[in-house]
Amino acid sequence: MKRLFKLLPVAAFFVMLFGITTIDIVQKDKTYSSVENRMLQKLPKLSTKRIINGKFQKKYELYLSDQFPARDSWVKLQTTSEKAFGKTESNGVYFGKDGYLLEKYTDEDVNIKDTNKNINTLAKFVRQASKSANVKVMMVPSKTYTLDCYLPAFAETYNESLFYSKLEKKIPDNITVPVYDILYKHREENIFYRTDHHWTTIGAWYGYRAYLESCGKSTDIAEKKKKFKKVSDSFLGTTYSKVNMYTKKDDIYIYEPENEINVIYNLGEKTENTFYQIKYIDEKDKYSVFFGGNQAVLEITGENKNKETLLVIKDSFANCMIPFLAEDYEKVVVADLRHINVGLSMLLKKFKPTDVLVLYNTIQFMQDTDFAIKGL
Amino acid sequence: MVFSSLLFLFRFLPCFLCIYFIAPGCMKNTWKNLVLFLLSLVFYAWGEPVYIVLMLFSTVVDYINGGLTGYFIHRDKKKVARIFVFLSVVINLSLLGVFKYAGTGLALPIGISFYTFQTMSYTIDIYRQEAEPEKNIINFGAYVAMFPQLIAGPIVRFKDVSVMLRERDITIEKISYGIIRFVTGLGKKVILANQAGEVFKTVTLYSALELTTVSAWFGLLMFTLQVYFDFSGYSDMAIGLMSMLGFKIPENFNYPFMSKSVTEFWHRWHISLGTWFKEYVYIPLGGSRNGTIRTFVNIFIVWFLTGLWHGASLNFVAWGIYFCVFLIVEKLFLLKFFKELPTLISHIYAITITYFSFLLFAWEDIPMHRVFVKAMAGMADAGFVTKGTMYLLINNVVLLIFLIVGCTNFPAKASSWLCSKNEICASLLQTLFVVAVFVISVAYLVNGTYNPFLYFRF
Repeated sequence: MKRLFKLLPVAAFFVMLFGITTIDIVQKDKTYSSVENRMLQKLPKLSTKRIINGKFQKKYELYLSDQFPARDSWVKLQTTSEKAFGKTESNGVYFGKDGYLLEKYTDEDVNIKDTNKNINTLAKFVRQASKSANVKVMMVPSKTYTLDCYLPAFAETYNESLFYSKLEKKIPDNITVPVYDILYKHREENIFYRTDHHWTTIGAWYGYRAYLESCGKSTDIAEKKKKFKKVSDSFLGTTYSKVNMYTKKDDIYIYEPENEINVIYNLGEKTENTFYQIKYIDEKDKYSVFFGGNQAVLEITGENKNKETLLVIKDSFANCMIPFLAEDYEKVVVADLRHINVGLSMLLKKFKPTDVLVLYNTIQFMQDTDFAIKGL
Repeated sequence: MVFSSLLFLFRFLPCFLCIYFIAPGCMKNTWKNLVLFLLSLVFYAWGEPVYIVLMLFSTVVDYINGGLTGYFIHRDKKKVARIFVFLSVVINLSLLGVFKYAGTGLALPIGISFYTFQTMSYTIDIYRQEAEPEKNIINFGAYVAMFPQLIAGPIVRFKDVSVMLRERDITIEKISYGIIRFVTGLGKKVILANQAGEVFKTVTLYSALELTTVSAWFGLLMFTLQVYFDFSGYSDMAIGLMSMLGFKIPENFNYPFMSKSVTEFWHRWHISLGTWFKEYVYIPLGGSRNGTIRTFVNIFIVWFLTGLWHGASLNFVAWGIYFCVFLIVEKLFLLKFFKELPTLISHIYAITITYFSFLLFAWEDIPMHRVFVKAMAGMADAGFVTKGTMYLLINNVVLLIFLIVGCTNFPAKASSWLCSKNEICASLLQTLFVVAVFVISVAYLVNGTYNPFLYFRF
């Protein structure tokens, strides 16, 4: 009996060692990870040359790590262990108060050179476009910076006010739409997802109202549109994917337009009469419910015939705000510079907008590498 | 290949263990040794296939030199035998010289500092008639290439294992001990050392304008602990694996931070290297038998070389000489002086001296030293403490407690006390420990990108 117990640690170790190995070898390889939103390493090709120069070995280790059985659960276990060590962050994500997962941005995450280039390009573009259109620039502050009251004790994040003061120097006051103050004021109203870096439809609605105000329009239009429909209560976004740590799931709300609208995708790829691709509600990437994710060009028309055309130059933060804007114009053109190969001047020439809105998340704008190239 | 990788744990180790245990133990373990030799070569070649040539060259050359040394020693031709010892030492040191110190831009072959020292000990031990030459090249190859201690020691002298190469049994007790030891080492490395390393990395990435006095002190402390847990964890894994294979090799660490003097520290830290230098350098030079001055010269030579062994860089030499100074001062009067005082003071002295030594050890370039010394002296540009420093401290308080407790013999004492109480209870606890530490380590490995082995570069 005693001898049997002596065998126990040995048996346990070998069961783990050989068990995991067997499962790993037997299980089928996956090509894509929906949690991490990336392609996984496949079994690398074997050749004498690739072994001698070490390429095979390097790829093979990546392959093992990518295809490790129940990878997500291991990541979750590691995060749990970090939490047990009293850490308030893991994998570059802060465990914030009230279930908020907040990305940690440091000085290393933003390249000052790129940022300055982007700001200069933006200033030039604003000058050019202002000749023929009403231009507005909206930089949405990041979730971590806005919700700093939810950060763990002593935690810090990149100070975006440095960016805003730089922007102020280059772009006239009446062009920028101030959103930080209004978002900060409403920080307790779920304006950002807990598990994703994007703002929610509610946050976007505040952005929309600020835009109307800055255009000198009545905010009554916004108040009328303040009715949201819940389409999901189980969203776990990109920030969650970095830690796989259980937290409150997010609700996704959408705004449904009063009248009929028409959306042309990518210059005629397909036409639909809704902003939303509801099929994404049942998938991992639920934020893609807005227009099916980032599209190169969208052209939205509806019953409004006021002869005004709005051109939106944007990143993913705009996706949930565009539905509010759509009905205010005869036509709204949405262009994502990361997905098209023409410059901004071309877009001005082609669509002849009466209004232009540049809408980016601050951090994403600072890190963007397309804007400076395609900006003019 | 390193032990703390998915590749080792879930490909190499299970394959190796299967083949090794199946291989027949007849013919004085030749079959098992063949498996050990060949798969060790695979282990070595994984990272740098080309250097396998170097390893084989080293094996063959030292096999021949050792054999010839033995042949002539037995025929009382000491002078001829000496030529082959000399040849072996020159060849091994040349290998080290070319790849480690010449700065030829060639990548450092992993473990070269360890296996060249091992093979030198082989011919010298034969010359001293403390070991018999190994006639079977498979056994000798297994000794040289032995994967558990190939890349980061301990430095196993030939006489430590020569008998075991032929006669050893694999018992369930040895396997059980080996598993517990291996898992302990894995946890020390993957869970504790890597986390400490990340703190140190964070601190070193601070610019001179961000580094505060407190973060500099804390960062250096974390580096000191990282080196200890990294290296002793590796030794634990090596000793554990060897035990699973039926070998018993000498310990490499014995709670160095519990020392009462620098002299004691070096009897407890990287013991196999200290022993090597003592046996093959210090004693041949005359040791302490030729008067005070000569003794100090010998100590200086040994510590100069010990420093140099750690890397072809001035900071390592300075590190060795730093210890040399304290060792000499202790020999002169300090040890006697401390005997009169409470032991607590000796402990504080020893820890402080070793703590500061890691300031030299941490970087090869002078500017980093300057920034850190300035900050630690209270002249940091960022001041004494900032919000960021507080965040760093609060996030790592629990880790620090684990690290400090792990430096003492308290966990070992507690576990042996528990084991003596009730055997069944002890087995259950051991099993729980093995499962928990292994599973958590794997979780860190699956997720982790930060996983360096510090003693790799040596």
